[in-house]
Amino acid sequence: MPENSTKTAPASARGLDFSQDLLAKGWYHSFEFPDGSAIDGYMPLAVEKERYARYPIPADLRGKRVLDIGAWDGWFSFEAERHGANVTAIDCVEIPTFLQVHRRLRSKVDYRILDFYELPAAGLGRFDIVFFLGVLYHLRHPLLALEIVCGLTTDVAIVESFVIDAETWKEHQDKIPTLEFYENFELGNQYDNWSGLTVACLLAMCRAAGFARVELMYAGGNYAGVACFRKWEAAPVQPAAPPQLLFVSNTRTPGNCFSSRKSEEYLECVFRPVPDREIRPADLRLEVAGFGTRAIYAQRREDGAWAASFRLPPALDPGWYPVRLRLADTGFSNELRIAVDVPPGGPKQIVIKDVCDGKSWDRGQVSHANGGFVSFWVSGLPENRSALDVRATLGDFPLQITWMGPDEPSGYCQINARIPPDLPTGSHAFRVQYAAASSEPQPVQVL
Amino acid sequence: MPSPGAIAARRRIDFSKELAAKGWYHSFELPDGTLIDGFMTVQQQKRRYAQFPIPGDLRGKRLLDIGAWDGWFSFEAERRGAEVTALDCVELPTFLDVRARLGSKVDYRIMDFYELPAAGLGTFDIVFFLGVLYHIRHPLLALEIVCALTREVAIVDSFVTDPEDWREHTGEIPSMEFYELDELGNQFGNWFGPSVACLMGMCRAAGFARVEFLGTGDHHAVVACYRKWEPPPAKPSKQAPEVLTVENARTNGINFSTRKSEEYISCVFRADREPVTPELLRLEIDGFGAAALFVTPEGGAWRGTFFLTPGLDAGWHTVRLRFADSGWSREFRIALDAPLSVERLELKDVYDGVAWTKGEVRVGERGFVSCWVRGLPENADRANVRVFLGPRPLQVNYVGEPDTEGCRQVNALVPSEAAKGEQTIRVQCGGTSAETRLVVQ
Repeated sequence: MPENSTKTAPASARGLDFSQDLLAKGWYHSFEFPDGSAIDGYMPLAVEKERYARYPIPADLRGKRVLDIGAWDGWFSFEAERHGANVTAIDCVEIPTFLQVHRRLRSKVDYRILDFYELPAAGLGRFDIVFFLGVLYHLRHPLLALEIVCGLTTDVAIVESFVIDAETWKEHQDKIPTLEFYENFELGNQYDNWSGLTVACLLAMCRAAGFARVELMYAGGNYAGVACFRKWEAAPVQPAAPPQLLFVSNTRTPGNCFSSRKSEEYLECVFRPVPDREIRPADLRLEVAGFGTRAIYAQRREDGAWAASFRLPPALDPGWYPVRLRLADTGFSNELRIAVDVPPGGPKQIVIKDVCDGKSWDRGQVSHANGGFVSFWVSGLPENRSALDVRATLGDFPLQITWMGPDEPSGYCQINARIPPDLPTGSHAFRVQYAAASSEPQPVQVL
Repeated sequence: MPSPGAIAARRRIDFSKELAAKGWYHSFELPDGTLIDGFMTVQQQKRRYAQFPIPGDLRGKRLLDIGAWDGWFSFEAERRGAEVTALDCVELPTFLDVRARLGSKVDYRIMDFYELPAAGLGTFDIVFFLGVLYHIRHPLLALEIVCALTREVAIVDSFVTDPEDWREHTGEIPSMEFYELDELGNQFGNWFGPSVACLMGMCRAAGFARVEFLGTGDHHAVVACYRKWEPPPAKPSKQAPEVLTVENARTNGINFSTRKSEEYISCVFRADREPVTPELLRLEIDGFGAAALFVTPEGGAWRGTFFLTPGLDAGWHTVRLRFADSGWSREFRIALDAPLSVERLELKDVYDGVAWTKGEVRVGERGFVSCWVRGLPENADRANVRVFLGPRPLQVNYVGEPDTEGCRQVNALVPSEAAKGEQTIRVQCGGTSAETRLVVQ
């Protein structure tokens, strides 16, 4: 935050300019020290304590890692440390007042000077609790910022931000959430304020960032505070029968492989409630790698099972992760696995068992008249399999793979594909390739 | 703010059924006479293209089409001579079909939008960013990425919330709608609906020098975003600014870091005119324009602050300034992501910065110490050269240019509470240091 004067700035469109008060006090946070002395900052101690008490933070933080992003003078960092936490505090510039309190308290808080967007690569690990207080509206990319915060959190993030409708948000809950964009000095006469969200927008962005549950804890004045949980609430003590999780796939491309290089990855889960019932997205509690993720939609399929899609939780390291599902009133289903950034294995041999028309199930043929769907069964694919790595061809024509199943007990997996509309009728050699391995050709009649 | 029926109104912007019925988004007239009838008509496409302020002859130009879909805009630019790269997040058979039928050489790449900066595609004279912005979760970041890829002009076309009446509320704070799910057009994957003013504000904030409104229509707005200033006047009517310093607003040094998400350049200059407003200023970094955020008077001169333009490579860059109606100032240099390599430092002399007495400094309310240092690297500056009196860091307020013997003057403030008597003064840069004795009086 460069501290240049703003004499030529236009009149502030939103009052919030406390820079004069802050300058007069010299401190933003207030402190009381064990020896009885005190520092009187812009924010009274009582307000700090009230803010801290507002959030679901355990009183005993021993064994917990806490990250305080944008710590300023550090009251929240030192308060969490006083409760036993192992605290890391981040700021974009070194604040001498933080260091002063750090010395006086003989604090062990790990103080780092980092740009916010440097956080994911800073190697700090993950934190049980993240404080993200009064920072969001200073950032140019608010949803990205919340994704980064989500990726750093294992339990709960406390997000407090300037909002534009803290006193009136209940009156327009039927409207589309909005945010104001501050190109220059529109907010508080400071040019490093970028966005002002409505309360509804803040909640929606926290959900879209990947948190499982988002609870509004406070709205008033110009601020709102939100608790963002990575995990679902505990399953009921006497749960109903869990659903049966049949299948998990990447919605972008059939298969169980996911890439962290894609900005939006979604899982499609196929499941059956036991007994069968109607499902709304809000009923679903999917867990990936132990983190909860929200359903975006749910719909019944033609075969009576349900399909629902969920956002892949952010910032997963490369590896295999368990996926399981419960409904609000049930326990968890069976577990399936997905692979994130796992390099595709090289199969030795690919064997085709059966090829048939996807509608009529007639073997050895596929018919344009039936829509040009083909189903085949292959063995030899690695467990992490993506349609992007599979090449199925009829003669010289590549087929578009629409579905890839798991290995069945027979050791073969079903793959569905569509033939191109300009594929000539007659006999073609059908082949499946994966990495360097290729099946033996099989003749298939195109009708 | 949207009206109560806003969600229903947004849901109605849904052309998925028409699109599914047609099978194509773009329409084409192929050279063999074949017509492909898509959701958009050829006439609409041509009208849209004609709005773009780009030359009719694109030979020798590199053009990037982000989110090409069926590719009409890519193939149209190629037809006019451009070397075109088209990008999409999924491979569209319709694009490949037209490309094969046209015998096109358009380079078609499938990647996630955010993979673009690291994809090694180079930069482009012209970038089409048509109908993509509102599908992206981080719109300002997206525009920064587009800006960094553009050398001349980017055409940004996006869904907007107020295409018809945006001129009626230009006094309001720009805003955008956020779509968590399928609120816009019943489609997942639409994230933001900016107002026209918000779209233009974000394009400016992304780092383009100039942003021009081109038009609106059918829920969309089109803007042209230029990387360069208009040419300076052939006969400047005013004197060029006399630039005194160019520095990083965060550190007061000449080094800048692309690891920081917001780097600002401060430029202190004298002007023989008044007033000086941000709109008058034309800063240029390696030929790319940067608009002023604000300008303030400072001790008989002015300080203008500018967003460091995105997409610069590591190394040295040339900075100069003009007014809208003047020629250019002299040139200054800044270093971007430059390593600080120091072999050996030599602290040749230390003086009182006021009395110029050697080896001692007199401290009243405060004192000034001037150090003469040999071995400082070219990109040494106020932020990376540190001076210590005993264990105490001093505030460095000047690092001079090298003299004929390669010595540079480094000035620092000595606070009044500094301990008196003979002490060690140490200059440190890039992990190397040199020291000598200094008497504090």
